[in-house]
Amino acid sequence: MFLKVIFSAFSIFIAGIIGLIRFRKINKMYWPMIFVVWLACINEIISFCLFKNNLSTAINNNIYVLMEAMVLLFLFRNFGIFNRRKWLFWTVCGGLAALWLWENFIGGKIWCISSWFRIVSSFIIVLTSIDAISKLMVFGSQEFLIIRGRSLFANAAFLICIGTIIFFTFKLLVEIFWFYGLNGSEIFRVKLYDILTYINLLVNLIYALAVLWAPPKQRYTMLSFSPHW
Amino acid sequence: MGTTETTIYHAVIFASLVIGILLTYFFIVVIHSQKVNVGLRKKNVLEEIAGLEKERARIGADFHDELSPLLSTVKTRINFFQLTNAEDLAERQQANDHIEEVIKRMRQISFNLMPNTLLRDGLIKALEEYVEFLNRVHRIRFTFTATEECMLEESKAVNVYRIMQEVIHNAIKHSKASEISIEIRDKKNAIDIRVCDNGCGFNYKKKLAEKTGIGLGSINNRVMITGGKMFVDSRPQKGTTYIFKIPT
Ligand SMILES: Nc1ncnc2c1ncn2[C@@H]1O[C@H](COP(=O)(O)OP(=O)(O)O)[C@@H](O)[C@H]1O
Ligand SMILES: [Mg+2]
Repeated sequence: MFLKVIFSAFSIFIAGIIGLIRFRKINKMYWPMIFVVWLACINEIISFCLFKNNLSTAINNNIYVLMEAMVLLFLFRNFGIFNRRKWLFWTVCGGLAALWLWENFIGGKIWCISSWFRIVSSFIIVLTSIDAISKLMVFGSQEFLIIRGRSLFANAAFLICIGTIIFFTFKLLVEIFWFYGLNGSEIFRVKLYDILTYINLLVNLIYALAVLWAPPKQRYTMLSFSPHW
Repeated sequence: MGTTETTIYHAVIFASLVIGILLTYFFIVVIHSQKVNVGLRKKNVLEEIAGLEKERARIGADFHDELSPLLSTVKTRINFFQLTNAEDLAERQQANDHIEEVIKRMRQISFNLMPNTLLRDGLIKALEEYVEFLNRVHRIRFTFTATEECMLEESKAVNVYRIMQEVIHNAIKHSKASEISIEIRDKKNAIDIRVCDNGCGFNYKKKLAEKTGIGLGSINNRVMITGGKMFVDSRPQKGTTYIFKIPT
């Protein structure tokens, strides 16, 4: 049981290492994805240490979910989801940050898991992922800098969207149950976490594939920046 | 219900609601992107066809305005020589005939590329002329009936004319028909066109899907960009009937 959790949590390191190797080659548009993966890695390490010392992992997790949501939104902005709606992007980011501050400081609950923020941010991320997938289908690979003719499963943007949809939908459901205080029952909590473990493993592997297939830099941007002095 | 059950019940309702909203959003997005997709395709086809027509008009005009006069000049020139030898005269006569033939063919080609009548006198006149020409050169009996002048804007008229060209050409090439009739009726805010042949018929859906040629696909695209509708009824040994409804 414990091993399984470790395995599921640390599977994100596969993506993290691929990201480390490919970082300089990958198009800037996809960098936020790598930041998300690295954030997750760091958070797993911190959580692991705290857990070993019997300390609460609530604070670092609360901070992690805020950063994760922001960076993912940035990624979707790079995908052009907020095109012509800049104000929407900043409103969403600002709104989420305000909600986070309110829940953690004004609500004074930084010591426990912040449910509201998780519910709302998961919801927003799933909505944006749906948008991104549909955009990918309509405008094809061009705007996502992805090589034509490749299978969808070698398509980084598609993989990322599928990953976020699966993960955050499930997270949303779990958070709703927590929100209603249903984590009181030990067995129920363990069972739900069990499912979450598998989903986490699956999504981490999807992320690893996504980082692996993230499109490279475009040559011509390099050329046009060649200095003349 | 006990308190735990009530809580679970509320949690389930909340969760279902959220999932419901997400699914609804998903369907809305799918439908919307479907629309965008159709719009994009239409735009692409429109641009492609506009480019094609422009190019055709240009080539047709070049033929008509540059090559024809040049050939006529050549003809005048070779007739300028004072020939006495009977052999030479016969030779020149042959050359004259060839040049005549080339000029005639070139007129036909440039007419096919972009009929002047279409732009000058409208669709009905152009089709009339086209059918007259077909009756002259083919064994098949063509009939053309039209209720007075129909008002189509120029780009639509060109598209309809191209559709007719392809449909008639297909009937000539593939159907082995002995009669082909074309009928145009002016409705309130649309025109109805019916083209029938009494040939061998074919499986329209299958041929369209097989993409044996580009003709059937191009007919479809052109109907789409005029905003019209088309129906095809084709049965073995009974011939083929096309019906087009083009909004004016
Ligand atoms: N009026 C017709 N009667 C019989 N067969 C036809 C007729 N029109 C089209 N077809 C069939 O449909 C096929 C596809 O037509 P088309 O797309 O115009 O290509 P193409 O004319 O170049 O062969 C033809 O090859 C022919 O077999
Ligand atoms: Mg054809």
